[in-house]
Amino acid sequence: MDDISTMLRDSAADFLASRHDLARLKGAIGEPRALDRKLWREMAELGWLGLGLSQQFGGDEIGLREVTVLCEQFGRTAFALPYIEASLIPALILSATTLADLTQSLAEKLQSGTALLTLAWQEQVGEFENKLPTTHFDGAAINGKKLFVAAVEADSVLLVTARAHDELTIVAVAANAPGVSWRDFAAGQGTVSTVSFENSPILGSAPLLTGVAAQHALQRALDAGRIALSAQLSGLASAMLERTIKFVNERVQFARPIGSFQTIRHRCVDLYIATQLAGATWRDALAVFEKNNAQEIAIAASAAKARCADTAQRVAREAIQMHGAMGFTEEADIGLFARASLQGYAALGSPLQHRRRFLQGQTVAMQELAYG
Amino acid sequence: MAEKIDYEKISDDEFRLRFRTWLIANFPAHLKQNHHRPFRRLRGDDAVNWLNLLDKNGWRAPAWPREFGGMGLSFRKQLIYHEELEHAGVARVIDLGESQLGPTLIKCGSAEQRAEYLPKILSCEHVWCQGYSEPGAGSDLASLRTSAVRDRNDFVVNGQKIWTTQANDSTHIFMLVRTGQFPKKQLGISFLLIDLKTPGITIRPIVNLAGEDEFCEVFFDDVRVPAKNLVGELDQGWSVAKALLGYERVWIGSPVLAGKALALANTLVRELNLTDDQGVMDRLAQLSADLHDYRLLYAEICNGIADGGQPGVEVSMLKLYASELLQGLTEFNQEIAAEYGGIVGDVEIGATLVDLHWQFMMARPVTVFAGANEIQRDILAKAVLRMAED
Ligand SMILES: Cc1cc2nc3c(=O)[nH]c(=O)nc-3n(C[C@H](O)[C@H](O)[C@H](O)COP(=O)(O)OP(=O)(O)OC[C@H]3O[C@@H](n4cnc5c(N)ncnc54)[C@H](O)[C@@H]3O)c2cc1C
Repeated sequence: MDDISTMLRDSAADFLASRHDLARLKGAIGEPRALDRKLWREMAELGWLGLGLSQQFGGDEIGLREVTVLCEQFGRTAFALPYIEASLIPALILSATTLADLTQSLAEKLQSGTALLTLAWQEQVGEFENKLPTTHFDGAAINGKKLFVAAVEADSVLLVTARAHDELTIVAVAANAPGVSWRDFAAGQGTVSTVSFENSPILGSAPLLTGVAAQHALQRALDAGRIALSAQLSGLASAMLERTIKFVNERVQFARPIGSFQTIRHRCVDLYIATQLAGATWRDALAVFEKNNAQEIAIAASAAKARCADTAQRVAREAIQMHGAMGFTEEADIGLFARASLQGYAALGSPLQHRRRFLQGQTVAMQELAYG
Repeated sequence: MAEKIDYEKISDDEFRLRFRTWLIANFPAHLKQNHHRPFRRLRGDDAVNWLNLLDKNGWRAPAWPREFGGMGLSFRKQLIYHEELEHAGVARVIDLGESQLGPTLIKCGSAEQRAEYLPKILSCEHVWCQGYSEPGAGSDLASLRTSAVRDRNDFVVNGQKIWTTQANDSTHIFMLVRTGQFPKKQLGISFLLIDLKTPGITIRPIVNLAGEDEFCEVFFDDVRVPAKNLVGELDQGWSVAKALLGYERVWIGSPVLAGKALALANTLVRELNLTDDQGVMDRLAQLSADLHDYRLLYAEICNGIADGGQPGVEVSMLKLYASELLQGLTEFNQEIAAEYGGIVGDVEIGATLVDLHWQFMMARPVTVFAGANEIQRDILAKAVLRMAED
């Protein structure tokens, strides 16, 4: 690990140890919660918000590598704020735009945490970014509906994908603009919203991105998000396993720690192997991302997202089981990790879809290899 | 009260038809299980009102002999009874007085205990919960430590129970308590009946991962219990508690809940337009076949019992298979729902209101309670396969 990464990891661990309280996430199951602005501001002060912004926006070339360091720590502690959705992804979208008053001010808001930025792209369950949205931009306003959007609050700025002249565009829309309405759902430990736009005016006079540039920026940002989410899921999985190993080593039944029973031991070993596989996939995806070939990134990101999501879910289920009745309580922390895994599993594409995307990409790559 | 019909005098088909017709006419529609709450259980007034309605119409306590106010059904008619409840989408009721304590008293209780408790179970004047597990005694139940010490005409009870389902809805608790120390831990345990209003008892509900306060901690601080509340012999409570285990494992192995989860799976596949997705359909086919085949095994074993057999240790496999199949189905539901699978709470998928988090979480403990699956596997290896032990 390089110096910056080590520093970030340590500062993240410190911050999470002192400022993140799992107890606050307990109860109120199924009720959407507002983003904790105080914590968000503190994250801004630590310089975490907007990591990934390019230099023209005052970013300092700190990229996905550092973000994954943070996200792995977030996973390890079941930290609930939508860092990937409301910092990493918007930072990468903005970075692909040209510097202008609007984008400059959005970047500042992002970095300072004074307003929330979020990408609204998905329109169907289980869909990827390779389809032109039905949300329509007519040159001044947009109409349409987006699903599973994180960090939608009154002061949010939504970066919305839309169709204009059969081309992809990305426009900025204020959540408090006319015609914008949304419905919140609790998702994992956080909140996602269904957002509708009815003749909602855009911010500025033109889209932030159009055509191929928009397509590239979108795919790059989402794949980066998937890689970061994979690191987070991998962190969740490892933390659940460590907690479980500690629990079964301490819990005595039949005058022995239950961790001494072979079925428990073997299960923990299998889960350990699973977490190691998960770690290998997201670290590889990160390395591929840094080489900047979109097609290869897609393959590696999908492999990682599928593997890390499956692993987190599997460890969650087994961890609950090995905790006995204790594992079924809201009081024990393990269920919070499991709930966070459910959302990480589902968000930005489920394993089933990602394995298909992986296979498709790999098949193409193999054909190119074979026939030049 | 209606004149008690002797259902053993009518045919199985006639019985089925009558119960089905009655259920359709009488079970409140708003309490039915549905895709939103596929494993719905009734609690509090809803539960008591429903049980009272069953009782008034002669449909209560199918397994109890008629002389004690039950329906006196043969095992085969009991099976039909449960099938019809499933068919009508009747929500479950955890009625441990009817399903566990009553049969225990009928088998091991004194005449006075039967006279005192059985009618009040049927009328729901008494609602019972089961106090076996303790913080230090889960799978290793025999290591339980809550003590009952004889003091003149009373036992004085001290200690703590945990995971006591619906203690907060109950009036009484049947307990296993330590009354003596013997080299064999199963000895020295006694079976005691306690009124939860007795001074010295504190109940604290525990919220579960689905957000419900169903199980509780129950604390006992110098609780005085009349000695006549002992069931069976002193120090022999383990055998009293074990007496019913076989039948309990048959009912707990029922494919009903898995059936509800599969119904949800079919609806989700349709609502999510996945019927052309071969990968998803292959998994659904596997799960459907698993349930179909399991129903056959379940029926075979149940028919064996209905034909006069006794549930043997092998019935442990029913609970094992049914619980893991149920979990697999809830996982399938959550996984194929893709992004919807991360939502906690209510969401409409197509025209169907679901709560995928609830069904996923509610299916977690089925592999833990009533003898964790790891323990059941040990029992099967030992008692059925007669395998070597370490
Ligand atoms: C929803 C729910 C409702 C319940 N309701 C009641 C109730 O009403 N009344 C009541 O008395 N109890 C109740 N229980 C408690 C239940 O009986 C216990 O949870 C169960 O006996 C397991 O004990 P434990 O939870 O302490 O787990 P532990 O015994 O601590 O087991 C933890 C894990 O270790 C495994 N393990 C333990 N021993 C071994 C071994 N020898 N070999 C391999 N693996 C092992 C277990 O299988 C489990 O996975 C309820 C539990 C739940 C979850």
